[in-house]
Amino acid sequence: MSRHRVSVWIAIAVIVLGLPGTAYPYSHLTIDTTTGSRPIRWTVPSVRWYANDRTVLGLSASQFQSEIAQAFSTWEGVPTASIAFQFAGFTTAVPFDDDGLSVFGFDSQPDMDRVLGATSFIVDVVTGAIVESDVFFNAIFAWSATPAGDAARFDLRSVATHEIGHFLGLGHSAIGETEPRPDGGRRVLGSGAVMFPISLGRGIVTDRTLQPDDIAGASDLYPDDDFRSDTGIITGRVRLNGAPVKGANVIAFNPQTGSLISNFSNADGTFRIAGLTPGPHVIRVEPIDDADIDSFLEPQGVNVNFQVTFYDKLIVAPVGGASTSFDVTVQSK
Amino acid sequence: MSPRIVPLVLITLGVLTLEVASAAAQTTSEPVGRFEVAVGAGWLGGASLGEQPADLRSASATPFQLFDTDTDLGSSGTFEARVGFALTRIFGIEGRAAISNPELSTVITNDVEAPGTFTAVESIDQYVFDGGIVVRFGAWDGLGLTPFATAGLGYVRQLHEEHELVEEGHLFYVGGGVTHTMFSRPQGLIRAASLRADVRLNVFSVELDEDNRPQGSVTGSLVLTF
Repeated sequence: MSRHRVSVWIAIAVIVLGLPGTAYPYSHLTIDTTTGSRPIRWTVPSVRWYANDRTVLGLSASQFQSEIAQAFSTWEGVPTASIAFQFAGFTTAVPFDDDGLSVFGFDSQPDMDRVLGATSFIVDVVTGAIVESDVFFNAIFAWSATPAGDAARFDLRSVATHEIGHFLGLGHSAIGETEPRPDGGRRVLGSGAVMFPISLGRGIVTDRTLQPDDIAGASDLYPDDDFRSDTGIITGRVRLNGAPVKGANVIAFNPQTGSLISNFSNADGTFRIAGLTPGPHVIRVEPIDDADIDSFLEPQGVNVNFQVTFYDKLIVAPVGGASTSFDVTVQSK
Repeated sequence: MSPRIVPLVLITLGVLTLEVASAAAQTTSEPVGRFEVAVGAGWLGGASLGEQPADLRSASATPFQLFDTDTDLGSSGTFEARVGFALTRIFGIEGRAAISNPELSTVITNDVEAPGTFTAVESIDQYVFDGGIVVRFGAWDGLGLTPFATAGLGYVRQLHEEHELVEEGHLFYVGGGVTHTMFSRPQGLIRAASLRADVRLNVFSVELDEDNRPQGSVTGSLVLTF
């Protein structure tokens, strides 16, 4: 396939490494542990990472390390999350090796001609704790570290910011709109999260900046002392003809701030959206139709055969708690 | 206090003071009674909380709009209780508690996937506790009406539907109206009874809407003077 059509990011690591878990309908990656389904997350106070010393055209190893470090700083700067990272040094170790090191580096994967980068994990199957996570950037593409971006290259820091979201345990967000390309790919019309699975394209650097959905996801997984008490949660259930809807993308929109934060409904139709600014929210429910379903969650049982629906009440996110659960009834297409 | 509001209040009070100087020259007698108690009902106007698009980032400098919203706080009935104390026949102070139940509504339009217009609503319980000065002018002969002006400030408490969120704020107000005395007497527990009509401009500043929000109100009340 043409390189020009390549634009899909996926967090395939759970599948690649054959872990028993799968991505469940939630913005966090989860795993089936011996004690039930758990989100995967780091449990060490400061995560050490290494930079592979391989270079690619136009990028030195030090430039690569600097861009990755700045992407880490972006996540460390989330004011409501408690996350810390430490650069441990350069290494000849390569990503996706089970070597006890969390390595970021380039690798040529011509067979993954739509994948800009991917993240792998080794996870404690009892606790869900991440033991090791590697990130690779596909060297078959041209990369840039130019501050304003290079129209012919993908922005390394933007893609790194996305992959570090996975590195933390975040899944893909479905806040975005796309349209099919004639060649079979999808073109992004708009993206509301760094964790949207498809890149905005070459030369675009906007994904260096986290969006409310990214901040809410990271904060929910690594909350600081005030996150739970200062923000609110909206809970509810999506139903179609009386049956629960799995995999509906439920967006909470704050008409005061303009922020969009979302999550998917579970197999029983329930959803939970955390990290909301207290106040009334518009609730929009949509099927997954802007990327492959398996970019977001386990496809089995996901219902995409319903219309976009706005709930007819404003739902208030309380301070430091959860809203009363409510049912959103959607209609078949 | 908002810079936009301060001059309005001060100028109003200044005008009132000038009026009072001439009115005070007309009479120096004591008020019929010192204490007033009133209950009333009326209407509190609505306010626009503004438009807010749900914008997504795009590959260009122009955001991609997922949908658009326009939020309004609706008008509603209001009930109030008021107590007053006449400092002189002209000047008084008063405090008021009022409750209203406005509806907050957001109209959603231009969704990229869902044609049509949608409306999401919620009900708010709004409590206002305010206080200020009242200045009474000379009666309009023949009409049986006595005009007055008021100004003051207060505290606002809003409880969202199902009381899951409390938002607080403050308000400033200026207004005026007329009273019509139904009876008055120099002796007895109740010295006078009158009807009072108020028109006010309330400027709310509540967490729900970070900007100052002007809302008019009209109320009528029964006043008993002791």
